[in-house]
Amino acid sequence: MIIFGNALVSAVCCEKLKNSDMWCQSVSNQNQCEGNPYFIWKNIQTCDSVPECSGTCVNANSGECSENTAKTQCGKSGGVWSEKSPGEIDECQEVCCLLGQDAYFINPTECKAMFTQNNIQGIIREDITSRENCEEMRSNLKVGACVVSTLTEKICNISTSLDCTGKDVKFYDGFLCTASIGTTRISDCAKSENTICKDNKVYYKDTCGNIANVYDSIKYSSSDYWTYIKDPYNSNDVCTVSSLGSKSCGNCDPTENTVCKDYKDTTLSKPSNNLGGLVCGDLSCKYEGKIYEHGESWCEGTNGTFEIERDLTTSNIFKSNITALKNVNKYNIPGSKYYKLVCSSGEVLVEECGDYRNSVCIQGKNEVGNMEASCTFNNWRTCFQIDTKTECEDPTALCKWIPGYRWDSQIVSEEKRKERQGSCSPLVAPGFDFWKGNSQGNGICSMGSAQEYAMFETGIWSNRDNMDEWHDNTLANDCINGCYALPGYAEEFNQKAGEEKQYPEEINCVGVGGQCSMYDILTEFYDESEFNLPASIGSYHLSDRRGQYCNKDGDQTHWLTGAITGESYDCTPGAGSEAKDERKERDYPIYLTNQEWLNGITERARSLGDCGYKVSINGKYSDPETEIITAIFQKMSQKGAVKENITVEQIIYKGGKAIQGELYETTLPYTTTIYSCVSDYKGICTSADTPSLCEGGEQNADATCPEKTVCCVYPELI
Amino acid sequence: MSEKKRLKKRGQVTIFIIIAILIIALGVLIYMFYPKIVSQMETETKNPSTFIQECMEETIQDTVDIISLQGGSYVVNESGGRFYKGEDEDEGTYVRYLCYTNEDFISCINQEPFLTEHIELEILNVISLDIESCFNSLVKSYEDKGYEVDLKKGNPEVQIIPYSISTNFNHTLTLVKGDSSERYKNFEINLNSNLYDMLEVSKNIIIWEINVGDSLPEAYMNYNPYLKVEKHKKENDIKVYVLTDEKTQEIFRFATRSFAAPIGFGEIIL
Repeated sequence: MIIFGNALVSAVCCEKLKNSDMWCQSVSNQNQCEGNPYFIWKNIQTCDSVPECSGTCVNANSGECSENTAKTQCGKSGGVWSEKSPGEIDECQEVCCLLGQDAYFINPTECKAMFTQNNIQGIIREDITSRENCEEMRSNLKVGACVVSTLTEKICNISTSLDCTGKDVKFYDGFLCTASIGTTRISDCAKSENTICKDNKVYYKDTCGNIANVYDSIKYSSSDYWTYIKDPYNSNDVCTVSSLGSKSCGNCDPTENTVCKDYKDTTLSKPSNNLGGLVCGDLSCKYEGKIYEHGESWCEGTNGTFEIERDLTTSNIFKSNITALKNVNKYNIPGSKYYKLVCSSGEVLVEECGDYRNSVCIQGKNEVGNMEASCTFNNWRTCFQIDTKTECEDPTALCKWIPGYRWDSQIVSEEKRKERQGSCSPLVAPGFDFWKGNSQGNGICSMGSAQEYAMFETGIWSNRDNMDEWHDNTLANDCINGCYALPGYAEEFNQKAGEEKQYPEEINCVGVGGQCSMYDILTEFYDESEFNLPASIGSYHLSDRRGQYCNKDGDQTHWLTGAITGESYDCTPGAGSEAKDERKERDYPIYLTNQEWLNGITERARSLGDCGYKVSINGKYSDPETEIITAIFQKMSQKGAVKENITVEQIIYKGGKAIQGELYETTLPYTTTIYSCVSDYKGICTSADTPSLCEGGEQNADATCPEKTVCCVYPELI
Repeated sequence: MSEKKRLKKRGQVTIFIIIAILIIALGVLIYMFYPKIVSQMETETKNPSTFIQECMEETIQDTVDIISLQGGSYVVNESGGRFYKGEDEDEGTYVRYLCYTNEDFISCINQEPFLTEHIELEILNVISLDIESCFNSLVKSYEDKGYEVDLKKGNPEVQIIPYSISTNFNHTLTLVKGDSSERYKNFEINLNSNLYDMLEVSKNIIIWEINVGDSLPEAYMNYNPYLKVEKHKKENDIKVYVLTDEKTQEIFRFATRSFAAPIGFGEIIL
């Protein structure tokens, strides 16, 4: 049994590693730990479970709170350690810190440190509890011209009303230093064409060096623009800049792809009324013929990967993308790796999404139409823990449902088939270090192996020593169970490319055509006694054994025998109510055709990772032997025991295609279960001379049949 | 030509050769000792602050550069860091893990709780011998010039603040010559640097690594368009973050390993 998840058994956690500055690390041997005075925690699973390894360290001087820090290291760094998380520690709670014209959402100690550092008496507003509300306080602060008058001059600077106090000092709320009231200038400062970069925008500077409004070449001559302070974020009087940049407006915004730059570093010409030559240059990147804005990110379509897209509002991956990703032969092949690209100030940065496809790039368009990508953790391991189709096909998860075998090998009843008969598998196959002999992949790939027993019901005249001599349809016609494992079984009913499996409750076919494919017809045929195929059963590669379709009344493990003819089978020939018919119909097989079985098991195996027969990014295929189907023929007695201890083996499928390999004899390398006649088949022991009569006989204490008797498995024959 | 004349002419040639040799030798000597000569000449005109600035600035800058490339520590060994070599580097360095766990699927342990303060101390430790040496040279240079020198040593400190790295030596120098005395207190070197911002971003990245196991570098681009944040994924889910300030061309880099995913399921129990 494979235990999913991380099951690292770490015996020791070192508080400090020997000869290293590494704190709280797990090791296999305590000799790797630094000894006294440092702790060594033994018999624990991980350092994660040691409280002293994951507390919060508070810096009493700066107020900085550092989480997930080792206790001793915190002390050595001069901090105060607490087992609590930062959210539970008062000193780590953030408050609104008003410092001059600025507002910061930081912890009280940091705030006080800033007051000291800047030599400003600011205000702490504990009643403001969110970053947004705190930042809004910036616009609420009264900012204006602070004029100090002397006999000879009027000195001015821009400040808050709180910072503008004293004798001969006057505060002009909302005014610039270049303002005039009436015909009187409030200070000696005058407008100028000087410009400066501040907060990524271009601002005018007055002759005193004070920052005025955002640069706007048109409004340079406007007296209003040199009188009142205009908020570049909220005022309609301030110009705006498109994502392409501007040489006439300085209201740049990096979130809109522009920033304050020297015009010489852009494609823009020299700006007017602007001595600094500063403009709003664009930050976009050009990549493979497309223009991306600053901060925009997207996925790189590298060989063997798919550019997965999702709706950024719901996080749902688009259905068409999920369908495409199911192509295990084209995407997520060995060697493939996802990459994310980011546009950063005109440069395209590359971010690898990690090895072994443990992380995949998924992109989407945000509300303004820009691409946003992220390297998303490929949690393929959780897929195996999901056992319903609905949960598995959650469009936010990277899992897919493959109808057929379940991971726990159970076969569920018909009514639960659609929802529960299948395997939830990784949508993005992970990679393995398959080039190593002891690769993890070996174990995981082996989960994709399947073993199937195909049983035949033959008459005494059939040549059971050489099935090769059977005519074309005989192999399929004589099969009674596990028939889908037979090459070519029901090939006339194969699903077309892209055709999804339909369940009986989803279809209502009377014949081929319209919405009904041949596969749908076969589904109806298997599900419903008396449903007519277009031609006689024997003419197809289909079982004509009644036991393939019908069982003894109400007993799924006990099949009927004998042949059927015509276009349909009837589990209650002659008479019998519909209810009895229902009871005698076997649950339809989990695969209906050999093609479906082959596709199912190969897709399941290849989805597990770098498993099976696949092409890698260098164009080379893996060893065909990695995907092989071997048929083992055994002649068995009616008891179910191997009649001869010689087995004939043949490879019938290798490296993605059916082959007719050499038949060779082999002495049983396989464990064969000896079935008990009575308990397994609910049969009876009968005379070996007249087995078809299945007359009653004695049985041994171990439920096998006595000498000269055979197990009569099919008492329905009576 | 008479023998006397010929001898006289030969004597002149010899003198010219000797003069030429002397000129060449003088040239070589000037070439070899010129920086010292210039330095000595300059010392005479230099004030003590300039002397210390010139003596220490390069050392501080080099130390900051080395520490910044190695995740905030001057010495990083193999067990505490991941080797990394940038594209334009001739030789790489070990980059310290600032948050690390060697286990899978769990959060990293913060390896340096107060990063800024740690780097300030690290710089100070590395330059302390040079501080000693520079001030000794300063004292000697003034003593050589006949000054009576009194140096009161305080505790130097390094502060990483917005737009600058400030080194304040907290030393006081008093120079006395004859009746005049001069006192120098402002021994401070301010390097233009955006390391403060880079460290703030790094600390934020570490918080994300602790809580989520990853970070979004583009989140910082709007805050400072000139700060380039690169995330390089390495083997075994190790990440090396490289922060570059495009304006100052400073680089700060560090390594992390958090919520790592192993190959396959990790440890398998059969």
